[in-house]
Amino acid sequence: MSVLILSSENKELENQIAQKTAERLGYTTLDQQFYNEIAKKYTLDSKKLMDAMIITPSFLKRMPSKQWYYYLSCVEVEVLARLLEDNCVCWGLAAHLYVVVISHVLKVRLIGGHSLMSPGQGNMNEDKIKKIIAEQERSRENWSMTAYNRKEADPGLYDMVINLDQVQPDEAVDTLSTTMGYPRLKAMTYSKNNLADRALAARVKNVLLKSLTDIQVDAQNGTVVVTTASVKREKSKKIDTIKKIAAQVEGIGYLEVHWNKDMLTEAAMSYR
Amino acid sequence: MSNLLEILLLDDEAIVGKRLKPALEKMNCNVEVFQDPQLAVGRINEKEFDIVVTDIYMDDMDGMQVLDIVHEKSPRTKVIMITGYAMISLARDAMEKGAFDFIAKPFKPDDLRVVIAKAAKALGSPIDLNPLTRE
Amino acid sequence: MSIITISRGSSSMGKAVAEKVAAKLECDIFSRDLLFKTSGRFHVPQKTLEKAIHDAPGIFERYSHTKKVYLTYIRAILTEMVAGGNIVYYGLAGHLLLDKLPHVLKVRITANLDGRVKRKMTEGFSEKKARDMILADDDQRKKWSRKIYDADPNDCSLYDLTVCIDKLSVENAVDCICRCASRKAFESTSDCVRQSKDLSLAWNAKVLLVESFPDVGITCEYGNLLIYATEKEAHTTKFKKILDDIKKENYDIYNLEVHTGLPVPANAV
Repeated sequence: MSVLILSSENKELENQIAQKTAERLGYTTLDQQFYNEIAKKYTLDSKKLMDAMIITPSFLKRMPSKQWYYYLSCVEVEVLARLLEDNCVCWGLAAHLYVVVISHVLKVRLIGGHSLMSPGQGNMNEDKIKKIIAEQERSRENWSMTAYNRKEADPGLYDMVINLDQVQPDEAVDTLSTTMGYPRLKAMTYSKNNLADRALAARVKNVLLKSLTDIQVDAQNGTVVVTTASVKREKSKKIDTIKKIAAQVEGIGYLEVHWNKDMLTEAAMSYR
Repeated sequence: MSNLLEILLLDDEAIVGKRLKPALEKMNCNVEVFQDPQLAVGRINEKEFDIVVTDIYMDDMDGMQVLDIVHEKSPRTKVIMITGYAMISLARDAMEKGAFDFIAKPFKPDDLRVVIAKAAKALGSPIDLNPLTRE
Repeated sequence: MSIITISRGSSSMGKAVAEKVAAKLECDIFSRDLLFKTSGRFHVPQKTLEKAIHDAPGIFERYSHTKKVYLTYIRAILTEMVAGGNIVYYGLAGHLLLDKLPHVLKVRITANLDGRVKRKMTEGFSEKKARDMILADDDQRKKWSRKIYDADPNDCSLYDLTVCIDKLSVENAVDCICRCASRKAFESTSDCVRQSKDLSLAWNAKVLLVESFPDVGITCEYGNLLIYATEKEAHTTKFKKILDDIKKENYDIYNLEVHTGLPVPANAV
């Protein structure tokens, strides 16, 4: 079981390369069509879900912060569950931002290739294309920093970056297919357990974010650590609530809750 | 000719062999347990094992060296690495060297049984995880 | 016949990758020889050239064109060395120095800081010292790149392929690079060889002009050298003398023209 995660601003080429690589390797695919399934499962507005993956929380756009984080966590839970199942090529679901340090997952960024656009878009001049790309990159960086505190274009996030200005899409498919065959990327019990830990943490976070805010979750070998913050007087209540809600999640061996004082809110409230 | 899966288990902690040997023998496996890597290597040179389960960090010799020795002697043998100091880089190196699997301690005996069953399947000699229930 | 540049931060296994790629593709390989040859040809100390290609310009250098002169020397020698193709260069800033040759495969090797620190420590440094050295080196390279080329060395768009040596091993990276080098875009066709030779001619001409006329632009196509200068520069005796020297020293120049009052093209050296 191995996983390939692609990320690119060039959606057309990303789609093309992902599909061809999956076909070549005999892997399943996981892309933005999955949003409909997620929306159905969690009874969410599918348009709002897709918006949440593009825009940051905004009062004007009717996407409050709490709802936004919850939507993101729904996507995370379902994507991680799917990645645990089978050999898969995944793109368009921001998985490169939350699937980290799993040795059988190869994360690749595809850049450039805008001169290979389809005829309809080819009418724009180069400067305009560059402007659009720069704007897209700024917007994505803003989103990824808000959502996961990571810059989407940061090369440190990826195992490989392929520049499609020189490398043709078919050649990129060749490169990816060959790379996925390297022994280092073979799934092993250790790496599968690491991914399962991430999936468990995501499930716990998801149930908690339904009604709570300020939740971080880590998991290792069934031990789950939830970190949260609140004002001092709400500490016990919040911890109890977390323990009660998290207990519903299957797979938790041991649950620990760490509490930090929310200094800003505490300071704001002390003036009342 | 024996149909038993021949397994060598090497770990410098005696408790590991004590816990795992009975669990693997339930699967119709013949298990030889060693704590001393030198003795284990000596035995590997005498007999071809189907599966070798080895700890990584040991005093005289580390598991990666054992992996190299096993593959030199018998490329078909599946080597499963176990360690209490699992790190991604170590895991990747082990897989690159041809390890069949890499498991971080602590793990339950059942976890290893599942991996052994996979290794047996890969060898073309599938085994039943719970043969006693069928009798 | 490939030309490959391999850029990397310090202690990122870039050298090991470069050596194995060169061995696999049966290419020549060089790094420091570039500075050695440049030093020999232009009688500039190697240390000075190394500073020019590594350290960001200091306060006084910002007001002189010394660095520009040294970089011109280095680029002239580099383009000469790669003109024949079949070469792996793993020295500093290869992706920038050879940016005008599209068939050069530009590779960047990355590694996480902890791994780099561990490798640096094998040279006998403490953890803190190793970390400080690596971060200082990264900082210098970043500043140099920004000041001279207005580019961030971590910007992946400067490279055709970026490989992280933490996930993929040195062998995997070598395999990837060698496969990439065999792609059509990086084939050394007769047109590419001609482009390399033209570029070499342009840089050799620039070498003679840069000290007195640092802002001239030079292009070369099929041996036709075009020099873009201001009206004032073009009419000086010194300029004319240098043009004569260029013609004398470069037998491969088919024709030499001077254009004044025109903007310098983007692909000019």
